[in-house]
Amino acid sequence: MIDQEHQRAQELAAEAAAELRAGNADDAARLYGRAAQHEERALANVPHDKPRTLGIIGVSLAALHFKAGRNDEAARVAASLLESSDLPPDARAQLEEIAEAAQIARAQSTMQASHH
Amino acid sequence: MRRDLPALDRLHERHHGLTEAVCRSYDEAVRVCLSRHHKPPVKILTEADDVERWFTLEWTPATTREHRAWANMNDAVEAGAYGVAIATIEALYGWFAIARAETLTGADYYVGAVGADLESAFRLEISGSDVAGPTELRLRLARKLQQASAGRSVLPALACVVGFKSRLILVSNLENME
Repeated sequence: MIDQEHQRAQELAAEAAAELRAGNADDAARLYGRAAQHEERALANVPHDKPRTLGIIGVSLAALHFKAGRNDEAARVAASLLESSDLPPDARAQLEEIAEAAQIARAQSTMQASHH
Repeated sequence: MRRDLPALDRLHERHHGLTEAVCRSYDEAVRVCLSRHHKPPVKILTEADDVERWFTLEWTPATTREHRAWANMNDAVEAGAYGVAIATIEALYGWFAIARAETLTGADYYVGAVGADLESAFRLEISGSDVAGPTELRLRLARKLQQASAGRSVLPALACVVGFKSRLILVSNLENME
């Protein structure tokens, strides 16, 4: 059975994607942020003996934070999960990609801020 | 004997990884993609596990408004491919989309039998094309198999490539690689 918090997170993420397609980036980011809150609860509900599920929900959480523009949170989640030795290789690779993307986004934000 | 693909606007009734809103969105996208090349109903050839099967898909032509709403063909093909792929997996294996999960660049669907959870589900890799012919579609599938052998894919996984103009759907278990 799929966790209800994860289902709610995905409903919100689907709404966010629709807003993004419609060109409403701010609304999309807000919805991705709300989705991340539910996904964080979903991750906490995953039993520790389900490493694949932890990896899938963990990647989803980090990705939602990134899509919400919360680069610090995305990096924090990725770093925390990457400490686990039980993480499946594919989830590890995806979290490393998200961590790198968040780092680049943060650097770009900093450069833009310093130019203003 | 005629085999029908499941109605695309009602997949959410069995596929808990789809909300009604998402399901209807995919259905619209499919109808937009099909309307560019075909009239209903349409016969679709699936190739899976080295077996060819013909399915019939009943659909309603897209309205002018729907064409305008899905003017971005990349978005339409991507969303349409999701709907067709999920319906095809149900038709071929009796499996359902049990969950969706975000990734950096999009989202993945997880499919399995009734009662499956994420720990045992297959990740469904989906790719769609508006006009690609059979040769190009087979190359796409081959590329996905190569990516899997490079160790980047989540196994177990299925790959599904959908061609709207060619009316061809290719399905492969990514563990079946040389």
